[in-house]
Amino acid sequence: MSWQAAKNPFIPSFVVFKTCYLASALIGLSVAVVSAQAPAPKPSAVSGESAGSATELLTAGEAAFNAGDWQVAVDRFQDFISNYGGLEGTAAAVEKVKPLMALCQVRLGRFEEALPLLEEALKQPGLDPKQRVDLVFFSGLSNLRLGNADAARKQLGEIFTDLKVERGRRMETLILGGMSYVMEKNWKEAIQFFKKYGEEIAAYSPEAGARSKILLLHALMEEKQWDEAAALARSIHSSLAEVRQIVTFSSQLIALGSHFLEAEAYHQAIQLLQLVPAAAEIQQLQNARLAESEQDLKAAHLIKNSVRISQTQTALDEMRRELEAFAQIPQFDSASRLRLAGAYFQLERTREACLILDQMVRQMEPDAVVEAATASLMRGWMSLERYARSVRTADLYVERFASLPEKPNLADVLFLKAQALEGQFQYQAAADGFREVATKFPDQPIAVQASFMAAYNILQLENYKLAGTQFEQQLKRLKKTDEMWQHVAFWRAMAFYFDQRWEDARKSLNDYLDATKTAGVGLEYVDDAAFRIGYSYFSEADYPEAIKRLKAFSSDHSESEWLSEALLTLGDSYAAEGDLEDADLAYSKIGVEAPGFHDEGWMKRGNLLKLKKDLKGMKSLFAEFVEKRSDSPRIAEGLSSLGWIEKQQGDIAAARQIYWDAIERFGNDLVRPGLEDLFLGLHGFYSVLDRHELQMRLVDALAQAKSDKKRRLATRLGWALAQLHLSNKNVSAVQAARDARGALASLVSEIDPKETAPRILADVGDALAENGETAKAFEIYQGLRKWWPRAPERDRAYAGIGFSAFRAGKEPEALASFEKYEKSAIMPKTAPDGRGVSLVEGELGGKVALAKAAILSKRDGDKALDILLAIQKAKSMPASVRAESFMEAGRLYHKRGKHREALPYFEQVYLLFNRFPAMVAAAYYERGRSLEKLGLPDKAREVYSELVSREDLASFEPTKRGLKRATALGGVIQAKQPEEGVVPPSSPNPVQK
Amino acid sequence: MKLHRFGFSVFALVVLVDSVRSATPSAAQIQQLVRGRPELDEITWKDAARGTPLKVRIVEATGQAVTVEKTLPAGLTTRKIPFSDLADLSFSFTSRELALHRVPAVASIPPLRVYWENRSATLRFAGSNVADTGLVLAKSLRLAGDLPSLMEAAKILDQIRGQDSAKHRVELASSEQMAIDFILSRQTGKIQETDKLAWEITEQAVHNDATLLATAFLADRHFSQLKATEEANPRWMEDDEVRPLRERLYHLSLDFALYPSLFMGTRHLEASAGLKRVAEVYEFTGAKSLAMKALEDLAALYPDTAAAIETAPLLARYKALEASGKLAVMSSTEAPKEEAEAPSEEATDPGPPPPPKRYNIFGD
Repeated sequence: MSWQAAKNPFIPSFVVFKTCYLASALIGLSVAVVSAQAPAPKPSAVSGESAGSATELLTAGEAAFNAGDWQVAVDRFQDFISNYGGLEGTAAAVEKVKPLMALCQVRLGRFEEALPLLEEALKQPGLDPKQRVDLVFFSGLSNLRLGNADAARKQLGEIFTDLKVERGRRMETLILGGMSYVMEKNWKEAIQFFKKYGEEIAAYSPEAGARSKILLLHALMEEKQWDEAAALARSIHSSLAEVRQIVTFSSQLIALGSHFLEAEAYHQAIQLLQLVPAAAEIQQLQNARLAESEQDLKAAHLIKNSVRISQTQTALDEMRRELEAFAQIPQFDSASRLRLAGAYFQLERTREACLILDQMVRQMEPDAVVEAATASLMRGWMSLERYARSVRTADLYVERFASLPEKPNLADVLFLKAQALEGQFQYQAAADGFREVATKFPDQPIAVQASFMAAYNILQLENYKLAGTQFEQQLKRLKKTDEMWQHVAFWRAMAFYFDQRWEDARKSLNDYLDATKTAGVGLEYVDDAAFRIGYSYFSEADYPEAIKRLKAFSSDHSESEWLSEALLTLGDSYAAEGDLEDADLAYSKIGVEAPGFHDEGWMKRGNLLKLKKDLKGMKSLFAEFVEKRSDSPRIAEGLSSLGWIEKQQGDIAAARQIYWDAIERFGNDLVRPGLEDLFLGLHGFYSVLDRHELQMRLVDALAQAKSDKKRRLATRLGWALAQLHLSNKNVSAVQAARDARGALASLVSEIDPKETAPRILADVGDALAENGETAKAFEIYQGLRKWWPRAPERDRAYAGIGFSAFRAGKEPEALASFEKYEKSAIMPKTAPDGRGVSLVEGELGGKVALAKAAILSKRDGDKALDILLAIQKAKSMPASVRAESFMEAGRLYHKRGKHREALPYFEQVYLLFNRFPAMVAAAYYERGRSLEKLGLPDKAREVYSELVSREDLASFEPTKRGLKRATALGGVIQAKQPEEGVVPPSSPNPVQK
Repeated sequence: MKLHRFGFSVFALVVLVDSVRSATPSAAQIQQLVRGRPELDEITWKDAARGTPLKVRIVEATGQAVTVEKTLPAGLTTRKIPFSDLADLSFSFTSRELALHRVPAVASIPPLRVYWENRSATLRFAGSNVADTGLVLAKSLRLAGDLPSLMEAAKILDQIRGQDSAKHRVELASSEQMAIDFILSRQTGKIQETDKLAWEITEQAVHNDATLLATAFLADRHFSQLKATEEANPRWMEDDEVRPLRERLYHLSLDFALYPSLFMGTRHLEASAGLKRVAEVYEFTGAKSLAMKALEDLAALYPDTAAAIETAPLLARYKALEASGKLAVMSSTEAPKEEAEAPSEEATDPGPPPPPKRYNIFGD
């Protein structure tokens, strides 16, 4: 009989009744029996501890009942019935005792014993309606527990349909009714039932409502109504505070999430799995719910509601059991988090999955699951190219799983770590890592790859000998048909090749090529090897052999990525052999898909024509180049050749016109390599006599470009004009530089760094800085750095920014910028000296070093001196820079009160650097000051005297001050003039000392 | 409407306040409720001879004693019991109190404050569970957000940390204190200090409100720095100096923004805001396909949130672009392939595994 057919619902496990009428019936029971003057007990029935008067037995039973001591209550009531039942005056008491005994049996879980007692009690005439409801309820409950679902539903339905029954009781019968279907595994009816009555139950009690929802969720999952189950689970979670079966619900969530994961409904899986609390939180929540239930229990005790007490106690017991069972579940968190990460992986959300795993593998106890997850995590980070995190994960793996008996992913993890190190350009560490894998896991397939990668990284470090040795050793262990053999063989040869051991390289490459003729040997490097062999002959100037090899290569490997370079080399080889026709043919075959080689070939073809003095052919070739390759960075070179041809033919006007036409055509183009050379190229077609004409033409063109709002053209023309000023021999170098700076500085309003070539920006920045327009210079330098991070002029920007910051007193910023300059400088660096100081060579490098020393002198004088000494020793430094370094070293010692140490530095300036009279004058004067500080006035007077005696230094301020000091010390000493003129006094070189 | 950077907290507050306002009694009512509570609080005599633990109603606790009420056959009796007479005591929270405990809210502050003030003197007493009330009061005060409320919360938490004997509550108080410290730090405007504190919070590796606040702050901060870096270095990809910094900012912007949805996914407001931020980061960096995926996640996981509704048109545009083949695939997100299991290595040291270290999943 279905629930619906009976139209009477019911049954709960955790029932909360406000009142138990059976219990209330107990009150006054013993009083009634006493007043009936009960006779003595039947002697045969009285036994042991249960012996006592009727009153005593009933009182004891009542006390035990109230205390929830069900077994004792049953015993006492049974003793009463056994001893006094049937005696006169006890019938009423027996009638009242039996339902209580039934209740005790229910509480003791002895439903078989309870049921007949309940049925007997229900037959009693004149039963109080409320007591009857209790009896029906417990009878229904007993039937339910005994598997008599239909009977149970009939009885529980009787209560529910009786609107006079208290609402709480009716609601609990509803839940029990639904549960009867669950117990029967009749999921359809259960679902139908809870859907129908769920809201009504929840309206009565949110907690009971949550309980019925969990039952419904269970039924929906069993019935595979997944979407509805998912929606319900989310709904339940949104009111989690009402749920007391936290453990049960969490398990349901995991099961549900797992289903959607398997069904590839990943978002739904995530939605559910992210609802699963961590194990610790589940325990905390469940304990909190236990505490709430304990409060309920206290309340039930307070109002002496035995039914409520028993039902709450049942609920508490179940929660405790669930909690204990939950505590025994291994890897709950890892299982839950792994599923969540798995869903993200499946959605190709690698970052999300990795973040989840990253946290998981650190917090979970190390076990097989976490070990595998850590390896997956590494692979995830690698796929995101987050090498640092990958290395960190590998270290974590090694640290955490060291003690696991099984570490199936260890070799992979170490290999990946080495790859991550390689990804960070840490080749030595990577090589060490790969070597470790190869050594520790020699029997694993990955060991071969690891050995190869170790040697390959050594090769990256340009240690060709060691790399070659390692490849060689590996070759001995491999069969030619092994997958890795071809890689090892080829790169072994390349180690020779990079080491320029051409013969050895060729032998190894030929061995490889010979092996490829055998079936099963990898062919990956066949074209590469053939090209390298040809190129090696070219490198040894064995052009006939190079021609033979490269010609064969170009026909055998027409699709090779090396073809362009091979053709270029082939052309060069022919040209070297004087076979200009074949050289031209080889160059002309280079496809434009390799534009660098293509244009290079084009230029070389022009050179061949030049050698043949075929100016017509040359003109035609370069005209075609300018036409077809107008975007090429070699455009200026092409035009230059065209101009040169015209010049050779005596038509200088035509040569100039070629340039002016090109400027008109390309001058306003966006920045690209080679354009500025076009402007500079003009200079070569104007003699010194014609430079004014060129200047005027540039000025006119500049005005026109501005008028036409061709800003890029205007900028380039202005820059070309400045370069013209700089090369002006008609004025002093100082004036020329000043004119150039003026022209460059005037460009600042036209300049948009994004659209201006970095060399122009650097020149303009320098000019502004030189003119004292620090802020504007700073902006230009920043623009250069911002828009042209790979330009060679970037180092000038860093230097300029550093100088600007230095002048503005921002010394930390200046030092930071100088550091960037040193990193990005294109000039070579000096080898580190004994103090580890290495300097960028050239004037700019020297100036930067001086500025650094000046900054450091305030906080780390020794370090500053180290730099100054390094400058002094660097022969590649301009004299002005070296002179200044001596001067500054002397000043630094002077400031530190080390006057004796300062003396030789000042002296060196006027001994070695007479080209810089201002500095020489200062050096004299400052040496004199140091001597005075040393208490050597006579020596000082000699130095001052020498200073004032030098006519070439007369105009400088230190000389005037020196005269005053000499006078103060007794007057200028007239030195003896040698016949050949002024010879400065000699003194040992402090560096040599 | 564009929410303030930390607008979600305020927004959440408003929602919570609205939801509880009608149900929350006033302080005056609570005073009455304190008197009307059942006699379920429990006190235990120091002198066992005085009897078993007693169910009473604790109506007030001062520095030296508790005032209790008990209904005896003779009627309601009130006693003032010196602490020196008691071994321990505990409060039995009513369902109304438990409801207040469950959902911290500004509107709950007055009643919670009454309960707290009535009972906080018992804090250091064995068995006293008054810190449960103190914790939720502090959290509610934090939601109020104004300086006096924050200071009051800090004082309460300080009391709990210093006096309560339950370790888990002391830990909760410390965690809450961290959230308050963070808000206070943010209000000072000292960005470097706030930044340092935020990182410290993320290192605690505990999923709590403080971590939500800190990660949201750090996601915003790194995203701002990412934008500034790209603005200053439009060709950062060619710049070996800048690229590592830009990459770090990019990754951390995303990692922090993803935190709520990955680790506190039930906090819909914060999780959806985080995913929206993720989409913004991807959008900013030109990774349109990844931005679309983030918006797909947002729409699928948190469909009813303001963030999802707000970004629905953008997602639709992305979808249309994808359908027409115009959505550039900017980043590879290929999941790592499972590889065949390698033979295991023999264990060399079968000692116990090291405990998990203090870590930060955001650190590179």
